[in-house]
Amino acid sequence: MLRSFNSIAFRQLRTRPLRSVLTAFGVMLGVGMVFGVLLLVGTIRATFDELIDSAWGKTDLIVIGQGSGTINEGTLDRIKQTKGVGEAAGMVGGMFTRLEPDGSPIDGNEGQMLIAGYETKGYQPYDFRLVKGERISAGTEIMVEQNWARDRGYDVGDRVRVAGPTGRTRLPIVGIFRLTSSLNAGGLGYAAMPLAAARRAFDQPKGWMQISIVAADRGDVPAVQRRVKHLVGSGAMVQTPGEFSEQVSEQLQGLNIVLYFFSGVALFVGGFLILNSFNMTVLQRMRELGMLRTLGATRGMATGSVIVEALVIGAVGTVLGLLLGLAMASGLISLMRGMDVPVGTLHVTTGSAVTAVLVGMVVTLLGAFWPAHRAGRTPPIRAVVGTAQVRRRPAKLRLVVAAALFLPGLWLGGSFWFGGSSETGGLAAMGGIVMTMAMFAGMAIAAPFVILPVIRWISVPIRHLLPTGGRLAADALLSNPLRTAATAVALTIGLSVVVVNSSMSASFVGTIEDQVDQAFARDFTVQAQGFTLEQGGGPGVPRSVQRKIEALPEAGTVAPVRAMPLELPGVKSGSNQGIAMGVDPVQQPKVDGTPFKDISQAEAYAGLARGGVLLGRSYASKAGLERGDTLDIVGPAGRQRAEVVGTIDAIGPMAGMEMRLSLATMNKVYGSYQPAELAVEARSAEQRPALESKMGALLDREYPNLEMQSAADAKNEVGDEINRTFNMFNAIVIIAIIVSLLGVINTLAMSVIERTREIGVLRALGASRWQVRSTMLDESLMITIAGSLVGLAAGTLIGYAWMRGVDEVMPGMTFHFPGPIGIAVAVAAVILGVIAAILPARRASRLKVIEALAYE
Amino acid sequence: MSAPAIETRDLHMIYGAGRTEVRALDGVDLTIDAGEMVAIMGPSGSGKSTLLHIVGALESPTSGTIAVAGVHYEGLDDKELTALRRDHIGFVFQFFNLLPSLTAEENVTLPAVIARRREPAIRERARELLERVRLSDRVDHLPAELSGGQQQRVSIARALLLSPELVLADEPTGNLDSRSSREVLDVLRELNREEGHTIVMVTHDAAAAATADRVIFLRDGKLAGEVEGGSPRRAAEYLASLQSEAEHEPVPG
Repeated sequence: MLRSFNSIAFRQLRTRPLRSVLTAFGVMLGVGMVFGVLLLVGTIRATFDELIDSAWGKTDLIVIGQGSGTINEGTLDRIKQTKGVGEAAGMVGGMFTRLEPDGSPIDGNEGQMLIAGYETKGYQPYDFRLVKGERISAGTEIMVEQNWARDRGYDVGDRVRVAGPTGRTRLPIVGIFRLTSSLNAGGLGYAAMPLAAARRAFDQPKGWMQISIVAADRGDVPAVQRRVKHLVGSGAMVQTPGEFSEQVSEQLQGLNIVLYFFSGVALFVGGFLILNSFNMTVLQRMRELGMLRTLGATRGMATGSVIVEALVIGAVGTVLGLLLGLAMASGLISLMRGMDVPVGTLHVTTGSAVTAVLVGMVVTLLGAFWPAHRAGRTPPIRAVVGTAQVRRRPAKLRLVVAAALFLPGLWLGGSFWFGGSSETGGLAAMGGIVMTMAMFAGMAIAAPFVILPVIRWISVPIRHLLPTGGRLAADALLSNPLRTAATAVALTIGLSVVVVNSSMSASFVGTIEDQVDQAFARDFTVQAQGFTLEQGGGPGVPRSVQRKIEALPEAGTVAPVRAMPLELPGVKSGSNQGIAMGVDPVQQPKVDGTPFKDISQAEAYAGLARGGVLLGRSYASKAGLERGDTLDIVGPAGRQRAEVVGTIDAIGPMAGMEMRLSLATMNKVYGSYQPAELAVEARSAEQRPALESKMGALLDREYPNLEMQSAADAKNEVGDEINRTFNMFNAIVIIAIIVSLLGVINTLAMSVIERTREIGVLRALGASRWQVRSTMLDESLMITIAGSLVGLAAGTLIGYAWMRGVDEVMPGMTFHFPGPIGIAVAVAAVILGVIAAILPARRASRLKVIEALAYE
Repeated sequence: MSAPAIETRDLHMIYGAGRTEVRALDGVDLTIDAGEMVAIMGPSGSGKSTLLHIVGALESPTSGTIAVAGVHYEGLDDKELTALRRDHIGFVFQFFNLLPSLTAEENVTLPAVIARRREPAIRERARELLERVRLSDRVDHLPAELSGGQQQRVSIARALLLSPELVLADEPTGNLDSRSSREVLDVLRELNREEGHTIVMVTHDAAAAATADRVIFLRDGKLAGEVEGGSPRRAAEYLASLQSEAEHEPVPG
């Protein structure tokens, strides 16, 4: 016997297994995405916290030079004498490349070792816990991290073959320390070496990379922090380990927000699937609901029965979604490790699970709300007049509401996402997300007005090609405008996100490639393997390399470039993260064709030689600086009042957040450090091949951690980098598209049920099973084609509009249409849509004629 | 003496307006006594279904009054009408409207579930009713496993579960073959005689109508006479005469 009215809902699910499963599947995908992203973000955060805690557990304050600038040698002694400082110790860092037994370098992060050099007597800057062997004390002996050593088969007593800034060497392992239980920095190894040997091996005779401080009195840390800050000035940051960790996670926040956004899109599309699915359920159950009302069920009971169904489906989908999220997070983590992002093992928190569960249930209930409301309003008379439904025309008010939601996101979305994304941290970006979501909601609301005309238009050729099936399919779709539109629009939204995404990446790549041609008017670039200018070039290029290349007879110009990530001074609004580029005012113009605004190259570089600066366009506009203004630049080594010589008329590195100065000025202000790259030009075009092979040989022999790139390589690398990032986002959006295709299956299945009698008549009149089946396939074809076309158009429109927003921040950006990707995804969606139609089509074609005719 | 089971006064029902106006009921005064079994017949569009829907509180009349067991419908809100249907009226539909996921017995107990009555007596009552409609061997079958006539008998048992004073049947045999129809009608007749339910049945099957105590005829939304039950032939002839008269003027929808 039935225990309660609500238990009927559980039974009802069984009578519609396909729809229940599809709907739960949609919920599962949405929740899986959200949970996966939450886990990923939590894991990244936990990795850093753990890393920082295990490295600096006892340290109260860390002093780090701005960017990767070095801190003056004498600063450490002055810090030690500062009131309240208990102990202080400095470290220098060097990047080494491991070598295969045959002497060739191991590529990528897998081959990289970051070695910290510090004084081994007295207070030490890190709390490395020794687990095997002994601590380093003299020479080039090293201690390595436990997990890394185990995975690569190193043990105490082994020697690691490496190439570093000063050539090849073998480093003996004397000890193994424990950092965190779970760290995996994409293969990067951490090691420590005594200071004296490290300074020689790293080619860093002076200065410090970081200084660790322990306060005499732990309660006194804030005061000590103030004093040390005052001492080092604005050229270096003084942070507690907690603040440092905070800063690292802030840098990751941009990525997190984007990930949240895309999982939001998947959930949004999932919400549509749920809405559609329950709308159909209610529609199909009209007679049943009416009957329950005649038996005395109240409106609330009718609404409640649908809500209970939704809860059951939501709960099942959510539980499965949690499992999917776990799997996805593991997948994403290995993907990110592949992209050299250091991430530890999966970090699962109750908080993220609870959030994902809440999100899943709320979206399911929101999706079911309107259908449930409708269920409650079913008049009991439906029990006798059945499901005959009123065909509603979409009201004009819809269009107004749709436009009000759509236009702000279209107009301002770009500025929010790209310009303001770092403006006030997450807040502006959240605004961007809300606006974008509103924009999609607007699209969904406007769908009947846009998608139906497209279907009408597509149906013309289809009616001609397939006289029976095509006509019936078109009529079926147009007779239920709201449902047709709601089904297609889920696909439209998914596809438009792909198009916007790809148009952004195509535009970035296209525009940047154009500018690379100008800026890289050189034959070759020599740089440390695996590092970009934006990263300051990592360990950089030793000065000896420059001398050796200059000595080659084929070499014409050899121009060193220093790069340093920096918080740019004077920025009034938005992020001040940028880059300082130190160039040789004499050599640089020969290898760099970057144009300047209003002034010639000669004037520009002459100005640099006088101690002036050239500013990137974004930086100039954010800081409100113009030619002729002056700017105070302050670094760990000194300060200078610099004249603004002009602005750079190209996007350049860090999207125009650039300050270009002469190498001399840079060394004076930020301390001396080796260049990030060398730009090399052959004496003549004929000598280029000879130069290439000689340089190649030199690097292979003596500097295996350096690599040589041609201008074409550089262009490809920039493109690859951008595409990789956007492709990760696209991969997430594809899930949204799959969810939208599930909706197509749903709608078709419903269509079969609704037209059972009609199908019976067709069959009685002699239509073959195949003809019936093709009607369903045609329906799917029209929905997916219409959804895809509108998606392509909407995506292009949004992409174009957003590019305007980007242009405000990165002037010179032009819109590039992402033809191949957009069209490939659209075609794939149509093909998958037709495949999705197979199941309902089979069901339609297998209906028994007599039963179908008798169906009321 | 108690109030009549159904009493309508000057009942009007108008659908649409202007040129599309349809007068489905045009001043119906009808009294049906408690314990009666009445059939309503009439040509298509005569308003017989509309009358049944109004009596069953599924629709509200445009004007006029209606009282069931002395309770007037005028001024009752949706909640009160819902309660009225639940406690006093049982419905039997042409399309049996059973929930496909519930067994025969569960379908029968549905009104109790909705009314949140869970006493064990309900289950006994359901068993008893299923026995009366001769389905004691089909208690655990799903609707899909039952014939049309059996499904209709389940729905009759469902209508009677909470012993409503009034049972309304809208073409109860409209979807059944003659043998199943007979079984369903016998069950209705029996229940009327033995339990005293008032039964009002709309039908256009003269044989079905003849099962009733009296047959009331409607035409163009007005009462058009009545005959005593018992003779299918008399009912059929009366209906035929109404229909031939009706052929002179177009009958709305």
